[in-house]
Amino acid sequence: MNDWLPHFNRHRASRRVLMAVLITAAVSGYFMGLRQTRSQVSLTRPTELSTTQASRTGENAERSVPGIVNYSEVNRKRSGPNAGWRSDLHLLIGPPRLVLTTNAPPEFRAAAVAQRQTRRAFDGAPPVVPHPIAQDSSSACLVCHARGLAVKDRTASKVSHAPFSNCTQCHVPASGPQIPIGDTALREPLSGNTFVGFSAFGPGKRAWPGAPPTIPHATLMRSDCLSCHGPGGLYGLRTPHVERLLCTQCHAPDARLDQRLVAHE
Amino acid sequence: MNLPRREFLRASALAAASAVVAQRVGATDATPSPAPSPADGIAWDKAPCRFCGTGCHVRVGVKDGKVVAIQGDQLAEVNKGLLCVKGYHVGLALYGKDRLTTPLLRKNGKLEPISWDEALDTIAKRVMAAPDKFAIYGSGQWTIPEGYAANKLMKAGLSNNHIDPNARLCMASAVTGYLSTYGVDEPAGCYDDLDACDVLIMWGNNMAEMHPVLFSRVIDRRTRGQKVTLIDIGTRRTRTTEFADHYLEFKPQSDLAIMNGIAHLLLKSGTYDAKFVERFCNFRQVPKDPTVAPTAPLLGDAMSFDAYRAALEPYTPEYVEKISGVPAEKIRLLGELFGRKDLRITSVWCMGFNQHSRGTNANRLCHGIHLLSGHFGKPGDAPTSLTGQPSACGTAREVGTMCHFLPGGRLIANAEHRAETERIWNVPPGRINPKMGHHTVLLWEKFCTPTGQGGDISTVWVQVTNPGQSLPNLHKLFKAKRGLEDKFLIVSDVYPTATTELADLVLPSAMWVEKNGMFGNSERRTQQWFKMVNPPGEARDDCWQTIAVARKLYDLGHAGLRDKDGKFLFTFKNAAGAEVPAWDWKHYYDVNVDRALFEEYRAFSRYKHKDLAPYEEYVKARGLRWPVVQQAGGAWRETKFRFSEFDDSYVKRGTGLQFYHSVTKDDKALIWFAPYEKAAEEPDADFPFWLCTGRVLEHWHTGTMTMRIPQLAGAMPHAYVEMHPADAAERGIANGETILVRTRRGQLRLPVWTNGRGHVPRGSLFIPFFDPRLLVNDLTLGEVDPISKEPDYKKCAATVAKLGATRTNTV
Repeated sequence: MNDWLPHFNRHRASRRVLMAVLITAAVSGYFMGLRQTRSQVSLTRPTELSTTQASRTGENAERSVPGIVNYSEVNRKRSGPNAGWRSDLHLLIGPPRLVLTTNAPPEFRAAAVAQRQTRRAFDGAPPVVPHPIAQDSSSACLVCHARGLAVKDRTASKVSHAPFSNCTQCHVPASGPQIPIGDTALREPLSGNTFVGFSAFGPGKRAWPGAPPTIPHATLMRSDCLSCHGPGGLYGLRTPHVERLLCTQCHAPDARLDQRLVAHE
Repeated sequence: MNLPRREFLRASALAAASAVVAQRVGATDATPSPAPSPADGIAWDKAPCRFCGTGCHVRVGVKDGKVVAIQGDQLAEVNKGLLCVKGYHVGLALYGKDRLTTPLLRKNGKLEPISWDEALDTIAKRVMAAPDKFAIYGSGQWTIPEGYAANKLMKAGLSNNHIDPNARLCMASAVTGYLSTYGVDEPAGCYDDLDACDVLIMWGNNMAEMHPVLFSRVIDRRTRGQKVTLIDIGTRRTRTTEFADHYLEFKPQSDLAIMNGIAHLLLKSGTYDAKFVERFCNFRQVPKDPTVAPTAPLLGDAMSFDAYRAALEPYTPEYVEKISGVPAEKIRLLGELFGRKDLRITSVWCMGFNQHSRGTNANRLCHGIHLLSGHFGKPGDAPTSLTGQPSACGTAREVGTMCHFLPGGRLIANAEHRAETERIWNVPPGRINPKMGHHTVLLWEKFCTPTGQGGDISTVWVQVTNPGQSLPNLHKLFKAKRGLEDKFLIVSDVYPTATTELADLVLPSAMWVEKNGMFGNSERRTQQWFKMVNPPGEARDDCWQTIAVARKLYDLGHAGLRDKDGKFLFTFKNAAGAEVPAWDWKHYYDVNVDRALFEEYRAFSRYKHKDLAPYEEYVKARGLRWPVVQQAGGAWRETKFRFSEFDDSYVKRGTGLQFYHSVTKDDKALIWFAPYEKAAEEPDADFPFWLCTGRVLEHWHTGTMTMRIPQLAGAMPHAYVEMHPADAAERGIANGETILVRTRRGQLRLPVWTNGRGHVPRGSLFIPFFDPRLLVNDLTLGEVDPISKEPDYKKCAATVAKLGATRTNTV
């Protein structure tokens, strides 16, 4: 220590330069950090989306003087220099990628079916939501799930049925509301459950090798085939010909799985 | 390659088919048994959902004797193929690991397994020792035949009217509201109003979570391009608010003032429907002296139109704003909407009005503004109460399993009604005790009071409900039973609950599709289903339990269990006319007991024009709305819009609208005036918060079933207290922190949730009641509405305290 201190004292100029560099880095790093947090896009809870010119540029009289926002309302009201900035996640979706030219190998189909089962009590049950949700409103769900969305390796599947707007009526988060409780014992279930759901239908039947397979499952609430079989679906379930949109032209549903027809027999 | 699998499917399908046929004995030959579908190997059959009062139909998929899948029933008018998350997972309710499978008797403080015979003997001996100190506490989840059997056992067999259902805690104020307005219970309209209304007003009703399928039925109209205006009038922001065009946040209890404010504006502006009022309405007010006659509080004092107008004079929008906190302009908005003849307005409500210390008046006033404005009797123009339980209407109200009712809308207090009931039951005149029994709160108070101090109920048999969690003020009305050695609690249930914790005898029950059943939903729709799977272990039908105890009493020589001809009260005959010993479990399904009891009960349904069709009609249908009237060709026709000439065949032609059970006997309904009055307990310096309790989407009532369904418990694992962030910040309380909530009745430690599912205003707390580990009813008030005897779970005064470093949830 005694060796380098006098040496350092002799080079006052380089010491000043070093300090200046350090301070500049710290200050700019601090502000960049602030900006980073503010503009980060949340995949799990997008804030309200707006594509109007006024909201994009922040040309709104009441926004010019930012008021004091209660912490509780920070998610509802926005202020500050980036208040008008919005991200439209739809702009991030690429065009459908023609990823397959042949059917996925059977082991991938099995893996896809197995993954579906982890989120469903039985085949046909509404899947649970694998991410936290806004607890007080369904409005955020359709932002990603109305048309489906893929950002990097994360996929939000397109709803497979007509867009009912009260999404949380049927789809609930798998791992509860994010209340930061101290007593995790409260998260333990009262008891186990031995229910074994009907897990999966086999693959569709083919009249001969190469014939288009029939639809092996009921289509109630699964009327939009591309939700699972389109480019956003799991690899093992994807169609090799995503460019063809009229699925039932070639793939016949099974009338015996249509409860309206069965009940009238 | 697929062949062995297909062979296997075919074999198991055959096995399942024969099992189903075997289970369906008792169904008529005309009844098609569901065979497994060759497409999926699953046998599908219809049933109403087990949970709420909406009455959705589900298709239950059974394979190898177990429920394996559930679908929304597309043929059901109620839900048209859609369900909510509870409905989709209803099949899992059967398979919680801790199902009760054997009768248990408390010996030296511990519940020990015993045989069914010993259990039945124990009950019969308790009853024989003191028949008048025995009570049955039932439920709006009783199937119609279950409730009918229990009612008959008590009122015809034991001449004892101490039978009341948990519906007293839930629907009683709606009943008194209908009775005192139309002279007959249950809504005039039905769910079809939701498809036709231009404006839907939800009064203290979080429909998006509590009746989600009905809520979607309305908001899906928007998706189809229709315009429907939603008005949420509530005391906290909820998921429903997110869909509403207008949100009116009022101070608890001031709903009374808001409705008077609407009536005031209709009269002031002259936009009330003068023609409608003149033709179809009389006026009534709460009697000055309610002690004059026992029926006075229910039927009130006559009032002139001028007196009615004068009584409403003070309720200006500004005055209502002062009471309710709702801006005067919003009151005017409501007044203007009701004043418009070109709109169809439907009002719905549930526990907000009913669990109210002035619940009867709240119901009356809502009917009143619809009648005054003429928004009544046309599709989309209706005041309709929603129910929380699947058969609160079908069983508790229609079968009349209440301490003051006889079946079919008859009253214990009425000698003619008693005589007619005795005639149908074929019991000697005078068999039915003319004295009303104890209503729910009184019944439990008497049970929890030492015998020497006037506690005149010594044995209570609880079926299909969980009072140890759902009664208000639990310390006084339930937990005080602990240590009273001569009191005996019998509980029939499917899982261990807060109630079985204090039970002396526990009976394992069959549930839902483990038995035959019938329910009646909120819109007068009677529904039927068949047994599809066997109950686990020694669990048995509640209805069989009642009949088996009745038979024990008969064998012990209790004279009441014999009818006039000396025959056992529950005698059933098979198709060949031979008597079937249904009290013997081995023979219970040799005959369809449900059908036999229902056909007997049907005889009661005509008096109040609640006509029910034969059992077979319900087998074919996804429920039918009464009155179900036989047509000239023999077909049975349901009624959607009661009292309206265009649909109700009991309305005299040419009248347009006829209230044929009118209190005033002139075919007119009653428009009531009732003043705004303060709540039974309001916040003060020591207890500065309003405390409201309620439900959440994922859990059904006390969570006995839904807390055992992983998908539902996973989404909402525990209770919490909702608090305004500013209130929390002022006290240095963080989101998620465990705090102490205290009222004059008890205290509870539970985590705070700010900006969570709902948003309470400042000075308010909300706690859901589904969590058996965090019993909010330790805190609630036992005060009841003076007319309906229903407690107010929505309003009491509370305080909160920070626990500091302590973060444990043991109370």
